[in-house]
Amino acid sequence: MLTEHLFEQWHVDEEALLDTARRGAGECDVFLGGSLADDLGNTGSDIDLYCFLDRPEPASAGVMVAGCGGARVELHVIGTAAGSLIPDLTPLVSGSFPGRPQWPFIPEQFRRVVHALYRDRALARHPDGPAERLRRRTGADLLHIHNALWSTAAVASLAEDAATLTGPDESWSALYCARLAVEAALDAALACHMLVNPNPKWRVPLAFRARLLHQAFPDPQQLLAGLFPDASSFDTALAACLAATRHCLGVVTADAYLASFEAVREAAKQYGVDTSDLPLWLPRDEP
Amino acid sequence: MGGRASTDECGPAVSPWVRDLHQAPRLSAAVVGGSGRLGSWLTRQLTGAGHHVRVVDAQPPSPMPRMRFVRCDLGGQESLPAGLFTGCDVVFHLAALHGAHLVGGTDRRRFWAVNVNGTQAVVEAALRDGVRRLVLAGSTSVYGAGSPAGPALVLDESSPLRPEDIYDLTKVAAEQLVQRAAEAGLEGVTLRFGRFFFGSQSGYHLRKLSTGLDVTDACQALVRSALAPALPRRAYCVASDLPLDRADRARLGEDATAVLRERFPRLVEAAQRLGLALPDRVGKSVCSDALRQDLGYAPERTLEWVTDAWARHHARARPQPRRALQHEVSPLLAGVLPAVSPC
Repeated sequence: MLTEHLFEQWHVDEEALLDTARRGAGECDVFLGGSLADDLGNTGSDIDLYCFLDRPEPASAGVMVAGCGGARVELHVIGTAAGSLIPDLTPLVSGSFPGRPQWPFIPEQFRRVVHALYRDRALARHPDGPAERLRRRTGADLLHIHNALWSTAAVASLAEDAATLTGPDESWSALYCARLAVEAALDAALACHMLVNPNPKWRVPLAFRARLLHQAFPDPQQLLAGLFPDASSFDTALAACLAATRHCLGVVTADAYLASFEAVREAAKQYGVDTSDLPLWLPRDEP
Repeated sequence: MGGRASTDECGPAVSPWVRDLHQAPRLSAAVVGGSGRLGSWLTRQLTGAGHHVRVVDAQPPSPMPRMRFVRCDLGGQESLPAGLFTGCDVVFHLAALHGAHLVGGTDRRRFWAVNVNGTQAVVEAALRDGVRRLVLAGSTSVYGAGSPAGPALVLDESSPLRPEDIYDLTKVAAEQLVQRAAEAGLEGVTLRFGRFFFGSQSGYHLRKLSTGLDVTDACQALVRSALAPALPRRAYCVASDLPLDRADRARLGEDATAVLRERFPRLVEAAQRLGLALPDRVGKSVCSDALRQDLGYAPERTLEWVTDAWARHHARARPQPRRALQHEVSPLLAGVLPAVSPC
């Protein structure tokens, strides 16, 4: 649902939200985060406000809850010390990106902070204020590339796990791995279209939205068959998962920037992805 | 190559690069972003020299002979038309979202869509259609901000990249795509341009002390990149290129006034006469030595040229009554300081 519509229903506006944020956190840059930043909220949603303070502490003071109009507001207070706990993503483009074991990891409690910066729905900000400094210091605008790489790596790991689950009692575990791989591959494909997904419950609505925009995206039926496989037939369920994963990885490898990472091409190869859409200058791997 | 403007069969005071462009075998070029500031300059030069140009842009350019327009939005969902670059010898890819779009509130995700995914589409189409050479408009902003105090950063192709905002990040990513395409056989080169945004004429020219350059010099760099028999490097810095050694460039960060008095006394004098404030310091200075050496780049709208232009302006303005002079000079002052200091 459009966030503006929700604000209207809750009788809140940006000015009232800013007032709420500053009463709770003091002078700060304020960004809308969570599902509302992506227009994915509903009437039961909270309003997540990320308050960036120009003070070293706290790195994260947890969540303060406040009311504003008919809405519940969660204030996430972020101090400048957070910058030391969030990895710098700029090596993703500056040529100094490390090999897979050293890929930067964004701790769970900061993933949504980076997402708020990435979505960039500011209620108040200063051009060189704490939020913008944190954005620059962490390369937050590259969150989609980071998400796509991590998710693709997860897809590859799950394939390796599934390959070891060959015992007679392990087939359902293998199917579970295959289903998780669909989720990870879908996250990677969404990230290619800059629809980053720090919350699993947004995965399906974001996928439906992506399909409206990009015909190359898997159609909803195929995706749902992979995400929620019919366990009455192991073979059919596994095939549905693999088909959905392959399709999503095809979306990822069609992105030249991502396909230039060897880890992405390796994952695609593991799943036998059709490389006909691979950027023309990249080597063609036999499926 | 290089050298100063001369008189020849092309008419009076023809620049060597313009003469080279006229004398070059007929080119078929595509200018992606050909309706923009640099693209329209380039298209005018190319078509004026008898070459054929395909302008690819979301907005139509001014009509010109030997020019064909293909409407295309690089940030849109539709793919580039098949055969877009068929028959083209060179593609100039100049289309991008800039810092001004960021200030204007353009969705940051659109920067990646236009500047990176758009470049991918252009590069793939160029490879598919058998284009020999692709020239990408890069930016010196990939080096990050200048020094906040102390010596100015002296930048060239070997300087480390320090992208900061989404514009910088996407320009670096686009460069990488072109470099990878070059590994697959496309002759790809990135020209890291300094700023040639025209806010006020004084700010525009004084910016040349740092990373700025004149749009005509940017155009020269593009033409030279297209005409060069070979491209020894994958990326070049392009600035107005001050005739200063590295030590003096670094000193621009500590005492720009002293450097200007020593090396550009006429400029200081001309600026004083016009009541223009010169910057106390600049944070970075970009060298174009490699482009000079490899491709014969010889910027023409340099600080010397600016000095002469200002001196002419002053000479015209001097006989006027004081009120008229004030009226004429005051617009020059607009935007000098915010545009130049700190660089």
